[in-house]
Amino acid sequence: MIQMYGVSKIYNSEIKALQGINLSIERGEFVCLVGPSGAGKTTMLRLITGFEKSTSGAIYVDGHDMNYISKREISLLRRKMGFVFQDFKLIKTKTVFENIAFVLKVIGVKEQEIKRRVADVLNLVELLNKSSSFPHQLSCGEQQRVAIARALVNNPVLLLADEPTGNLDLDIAKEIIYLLLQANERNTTVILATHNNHLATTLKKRIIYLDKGKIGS
Amino acid sequence: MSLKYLIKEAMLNLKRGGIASFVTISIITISLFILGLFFILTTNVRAIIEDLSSKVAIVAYLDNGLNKEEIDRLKKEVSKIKEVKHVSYISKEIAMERFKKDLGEGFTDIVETLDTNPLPASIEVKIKGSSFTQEEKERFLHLVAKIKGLVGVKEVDYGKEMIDILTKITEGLSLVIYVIGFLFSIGAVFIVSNTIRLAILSKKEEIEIMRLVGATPGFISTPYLLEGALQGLIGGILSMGLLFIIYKLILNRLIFILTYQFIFLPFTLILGLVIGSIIVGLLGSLLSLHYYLRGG
Ligand SMILES: Nc1ncnc2c1ncn2[C@@H]1O[C@H](COP(=O)(O)OP(=O)(O)OP(=O)(O)O)[C@@H](O)[C@H]1O
Ligand SMILES: [Mg+2]
Repeated sequence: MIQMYGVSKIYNSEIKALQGINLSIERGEFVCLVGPSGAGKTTMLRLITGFEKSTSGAIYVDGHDMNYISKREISLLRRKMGFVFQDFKLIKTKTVFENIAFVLKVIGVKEQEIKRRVADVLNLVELLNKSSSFPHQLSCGEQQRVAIARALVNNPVLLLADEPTGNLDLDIAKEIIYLLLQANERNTTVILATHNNHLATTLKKRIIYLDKGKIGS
Repeated sequence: MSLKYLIKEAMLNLKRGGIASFVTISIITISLFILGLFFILTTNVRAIIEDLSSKVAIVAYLDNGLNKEEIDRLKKEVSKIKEVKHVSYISKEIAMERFKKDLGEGFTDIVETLDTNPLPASIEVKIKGSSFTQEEKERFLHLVAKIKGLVGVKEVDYGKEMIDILTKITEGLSLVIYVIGFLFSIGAVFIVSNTIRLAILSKKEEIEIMRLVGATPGFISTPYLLEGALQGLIGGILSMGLLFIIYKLILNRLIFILTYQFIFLPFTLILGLVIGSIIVGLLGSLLSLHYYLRGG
């Protein structure tokens, strides 16, 4: 699914966010990316999404060489991915339903089909009753569940979650992680970035340690 | 991407934008209103000058004892000059009639005592053109000289002081109109495009999310472009409406004080301002979107 060969990312020609990263993540894996603040976790996810280009080295995502991918191909590739962030990143002026439906509109799914699939995924995260609420009317845990619903609605082959539990208390964090595990069981490759080593070890999944931009153990 | 999606999205953004949309449209409206007010004033000053200019006439007094043929020939000759709009012959008798009328009842006795009519016959020449720039003034003086040189013309008269003043005002005014109009327009363009740019700036996150879920740059930008254009359109129409209300309530009533009937902006200028506002709104959106979407 993802291969990195000697990948480095240097910001402003001095901040070495990532250095000489080699790794391979297979289709269907659940990987925890663990490291302290500033280790380069978000940077790595941004390289995978194509929001950032690597300074050196090669990255392949689903067979695409991210150094030479066109804008249009990036858009198409992102439609196969789902994203969850610490700060949810929901569109404030759209309702829960619209925030999720939006992802499908972008791909050109028919109105009827959109309604069905959004309802399905809202049912999955148990938020069907909040469908016409706006993000600010929801609790943090609910907002994060909407974000997950949005990430899952187009059955992504790859799900990237960047500190999805950072702001949430333990019980709600568990619910979120459970949703990620569920998605993984349906064959979605999941990368979970977190600074919480304890959380990662309890999951008993593959862990990639990252420190000061390098892979450690 | 359907047209229905686009329009729905643009309208919804506008509606949900709440205060932000309101502020953006208000700023556009106010800046166009000020620009429009300036144009109304200049349009009216121009109209006044044109009105005065159109009254300018050259009076050519004729030699005594010209016969009808000679007069007709002279009239024809003057009519042929291309700057001339209209020529009319004023006989000695008509001149006397006018003179009496000017004097008013009660004073006509003075004239009655005269044995012969001392007033010369004349031809009155109205000219084309409606303003007096330096260039037009020179052409006018040239025309005066030409008429004066014709056989049968004794003397010419034209309001020299009037022409000098009109020329000065016209010259000075066009400079003022162009300079201030230019500055005002630049200001309006800057304010409108910047306001819309700021409005889009506040949607940075929204745009990033759209990119994240795989929306193509075209899909992302079209509703925003439409929204910018729509804000330009609404601001444009509101400002013209406001201007018309001010015109009806205040300017139009000044006729009692100024004995001058203010005119509103010509339709083409209204159309130009509204279309300009739409284009600037569109460009404002385009510029800021370009900034966000260049990275793919
Ligand atoms: N856009 C940027 N410009 C400059 N430097 C950046 C940029 N993004 C990240 N960095 C730097 O790169 C390093 C790695 O940052 P990154 O966000 O990847 O860390 P992180 O592991 O996600 O940390 P956190 O757990 O706090 O989110 C940091 O030193 C950060 O300051
Ligand atoms: Mg981070």
